[in-house]
Amino acid sequence: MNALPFIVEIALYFAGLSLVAIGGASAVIPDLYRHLVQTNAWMTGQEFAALIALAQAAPGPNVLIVALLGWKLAGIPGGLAALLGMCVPSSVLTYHFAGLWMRLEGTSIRNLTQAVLVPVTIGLVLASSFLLVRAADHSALAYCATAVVALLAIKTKLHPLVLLAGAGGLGAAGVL
Amino acid sequence: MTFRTASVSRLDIFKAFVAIGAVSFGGAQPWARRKLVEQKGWITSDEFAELLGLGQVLPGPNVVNLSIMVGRRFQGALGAFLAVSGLLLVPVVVVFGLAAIYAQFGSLPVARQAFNGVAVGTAGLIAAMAVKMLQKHQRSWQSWCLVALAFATAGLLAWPLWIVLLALTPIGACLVRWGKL
Repeated sequence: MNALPFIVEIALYFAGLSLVAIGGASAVIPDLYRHLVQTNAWMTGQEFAALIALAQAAPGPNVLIVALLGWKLAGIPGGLAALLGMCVPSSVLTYHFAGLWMRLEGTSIRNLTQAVLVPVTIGLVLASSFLLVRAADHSALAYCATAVVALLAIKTKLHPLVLLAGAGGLGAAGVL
Repeated sequence: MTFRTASVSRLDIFKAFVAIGAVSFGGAQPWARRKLVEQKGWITSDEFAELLGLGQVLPGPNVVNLSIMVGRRFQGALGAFLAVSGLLLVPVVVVFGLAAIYAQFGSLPVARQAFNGVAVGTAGLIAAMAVKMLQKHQRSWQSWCLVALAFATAGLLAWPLWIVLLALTPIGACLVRWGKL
């Protein structure tokens, strides 16, 4: 495979995703999994899960997940292609349409859009969580650990990094 | 939302967003709020919530969208560009550094198991985010239906995202309208 077209292919996939990425990076994990792991087999489910885990160790918005996935496909150029592809189309759209959306405040079309898109986004985010455990080298205990982390994150003010470190420690100890 | 003519320079914007990006572990939203609302006072708390809500219904990364709108308000297109590049500058460097370390050690069994554990934990954090969103949203049987349909089509049936949205938007609109009759 010639290097340049593959970079372009990466950028184009993420650019397309950018324009439908309602709910941000956490809502596109199901599509990333489908495209990168299931359809094209460019990486294994475990590698996919590990890269998403790795992205949590860096500061910054969740969109950096795509930079790491792109990096896995084609090194740093692949990472930059993925990140730019994911950010540029939606940014241009946001730049031009933000004002329009604000003017629609209180109109029925805006209320209807919100009433539909918010629950759909929530379903997508839940699907992301589910696919991530499934992609990891999972046991029944892993699902339990996911549920415990979720509960602690909802009920306590523990820092997310503390929870991730705990889960990582359990993993390294071979418990999960 | 009122557009005040606060004098925030391009350099101010860039510096503030570099600072947000550099420290924002565990998602950038709370850090962006802290810097823009609490420390700088460039936007009010309500404006922040409004911009974030907007970032949620528009496609694309939420905090990137927020940065675009804040940068644009004070310095137009260049401000928007500076805000996003500032936000991503440090994290991109860090993330590629981590990638290099991962390439070196990622295949060691202990590292693999640790990453596995972190991935399982990450799944928990993502699930928690979904639950918190659900708590803030008005729950009705229609919204439960949409949550379940989105989960099933994207998570279990592995439909491409654009097909999920194309299918669920009209279904959702009908459900919501029907609920009002």
